[in-house]
Amino acid sequence: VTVAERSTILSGGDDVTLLDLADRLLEKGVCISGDIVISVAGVDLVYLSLRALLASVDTAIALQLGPEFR
Amino acid sequence: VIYLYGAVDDGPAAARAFESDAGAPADGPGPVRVIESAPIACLVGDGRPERTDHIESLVDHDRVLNQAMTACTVVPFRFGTAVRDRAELAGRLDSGAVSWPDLFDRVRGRRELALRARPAGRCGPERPARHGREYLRERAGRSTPPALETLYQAMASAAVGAVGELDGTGALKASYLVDEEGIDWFCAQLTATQTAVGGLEVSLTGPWAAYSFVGTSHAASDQKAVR
Repeated sequence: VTVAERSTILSGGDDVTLLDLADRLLEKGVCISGDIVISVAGVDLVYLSLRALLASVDTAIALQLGPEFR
Repeated sequence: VIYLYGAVDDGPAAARAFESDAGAPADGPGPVRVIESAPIACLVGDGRPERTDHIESLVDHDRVLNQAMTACTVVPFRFGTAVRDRAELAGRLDSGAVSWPDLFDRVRGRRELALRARPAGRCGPERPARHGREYLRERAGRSTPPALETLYQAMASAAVGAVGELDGTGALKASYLVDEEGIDWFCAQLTATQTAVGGLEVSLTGPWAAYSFVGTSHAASDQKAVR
């Protein structure tokens, strides 16, 4: 199921769906060790770069939907 | 490096779901495969996603979990979780920090739905409280937090589990754990509740893997109060 298909299934737009996806993958899910993300070289950079990307996405969404959806 | 997508309760069934290359993310960490590592099996890829700074990496991770969920129960790992080798994986999984049977029981046959709601027609940020006529006029023109609380609680009663928060702007972000066969009914309930409460703009996305209900902070009885 793609992001677009999810939006079709229920009532969110693509942008909202993308934010919901990011909320879940970056903040939730089983974390089997607190330091595991930074225990492998480079993976911590994945996290940071995605964070930066999401900040940009948040800004774009806010302009479109209003800051309530950040 | 072994990249971890999720834990599965039926390794052979999960493996069959990825027998063709269709489930492998184009820029992901290699073909998806299953590693049996007591007490569970894991969906893994070798290495890390190549496009690690791209939002598609998130979409790929989620797509793998969705494909696996067509065949078995999946407990999603947090994005970016990786281990050096199988020995480290075994140690992490068997550390006792996570009760895998409890997690699988909690999410089996269930999916997560994501709800966002805000007072209708409010486009600007929440401003500091004002005084006098302007404040009263502003307040009269918008729904109040109890409307969001009513919506949240009504939907929590229609779900197996619920977690939610009001963000700094007064918008509700909530996650609901719902039986797969009850998703349509949940959506109908949401529509009815939104109509009954009135004055709210609502979006609902999913179904997702149960990301919000596999944290160690969740008790056996899932939270149903807005934090």
